[in-house]
Amino acid sequence: MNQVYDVVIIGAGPAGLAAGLYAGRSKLKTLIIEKGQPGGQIATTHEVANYPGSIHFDGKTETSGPELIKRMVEQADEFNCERVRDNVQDIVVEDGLKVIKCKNNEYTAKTVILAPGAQPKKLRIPGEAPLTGKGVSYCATCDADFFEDLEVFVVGGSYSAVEEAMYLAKFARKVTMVVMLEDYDNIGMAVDKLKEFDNIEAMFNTQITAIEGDGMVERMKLINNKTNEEWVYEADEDEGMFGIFIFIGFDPNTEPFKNIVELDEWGYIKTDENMMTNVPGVYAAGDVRPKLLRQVVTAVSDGAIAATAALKFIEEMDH
Amino acid sequence: MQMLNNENFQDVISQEGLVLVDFFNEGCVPCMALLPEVVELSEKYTQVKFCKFDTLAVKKRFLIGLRVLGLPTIHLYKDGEKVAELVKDDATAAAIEEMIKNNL
Repeated sequence: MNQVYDVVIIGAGPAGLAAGLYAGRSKLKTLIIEKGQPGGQIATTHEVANYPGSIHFDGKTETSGPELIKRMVEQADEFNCERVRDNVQDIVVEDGLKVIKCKNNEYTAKTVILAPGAQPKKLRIPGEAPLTGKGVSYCATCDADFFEDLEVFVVGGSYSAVEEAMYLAKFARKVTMVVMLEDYDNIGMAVDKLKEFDNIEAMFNTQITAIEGDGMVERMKLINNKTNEEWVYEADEDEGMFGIFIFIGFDPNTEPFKNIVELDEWGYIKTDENMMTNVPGVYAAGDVRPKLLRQVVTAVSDGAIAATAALKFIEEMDH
Repeated sequence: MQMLNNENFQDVISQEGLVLVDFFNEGCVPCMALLPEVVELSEKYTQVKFCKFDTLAVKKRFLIGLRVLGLPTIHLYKDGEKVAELVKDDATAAAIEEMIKNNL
């Protein structure tokens, strides 16, 4: 039998790294499994202005997501938290121990902390997947440059969609918000800010039903969900293409865990106040939990609590 | 890794064998996270010519011509022909290595 970890953490975003730091510091034998780069969603964020301590004393420079993550990784490593890159496929509970089955390896642990995060929600319409990175994007900071002086559509009506539209409007010739509802969704003061942009327009009660093009986005089909009127939008002839940026919320990454722990109706992992799921010794932390505020500050809090609860669980288990 | 631009691009990718191009710019956070891993791969697969292309250094028209419209994007050329491509979330170090192995 291979070695038994006290804690195996799945996901190396802020929640997982905080759990790793706390578990490692408590002298628990700890492993973090991450399928890609450490960092999760914060790794694509330029400026982190709302994490206490992240702004430097000059009041101007803000800590970038990758910088913050780099320090979190160093700190977890410092407290002897092991890290491995692998992709979790399944978790099986055997005699109270948890066997984490991954693509490359299998790991055994007394407790598991699920911190897999969330990813941008897809429209799930024809053409969306094949044209991702070819005009379809979920990351304004990654791709805004490509649409300098071109036309861009922003799908979504939330505060964050509006914020992304204002960011894109600095690059694009014209930005059109495609909003499914009859108005924006509680965007508060952003309404006034939007008025300062003369190149942002909005279409309400509107949905994109298909995206088409030969290797790049050239046209799309739309529908007005009130009148059922359908039409096709073609790229400007000289420009040949346009961009579609999609900001309609997030989907929790719970696919490998949906048969193991109880989820709520939106697919988030239910926990008690100490982050424990319905399976004893299995915890969840970060964006994957149902919560009001999904940010670094709440993710690290979840991670710390989960690791502390795991420590307690192991102490009781060993006695 | 050799830096490519619109002037040397065609010459470099047209050479015999495998040429990998990592399209990036410094503002693209996932690109900058991926780049060191691509450098590691370049040390492992010395038979492949590894290049990088700063997308901010050229006119967008040039990139649209290459159908590069999102980052990160990795192209693999063999004897001047594009044989494989990885875009966005698919552009991971593991997937790049597999793409190279499949075309060696």
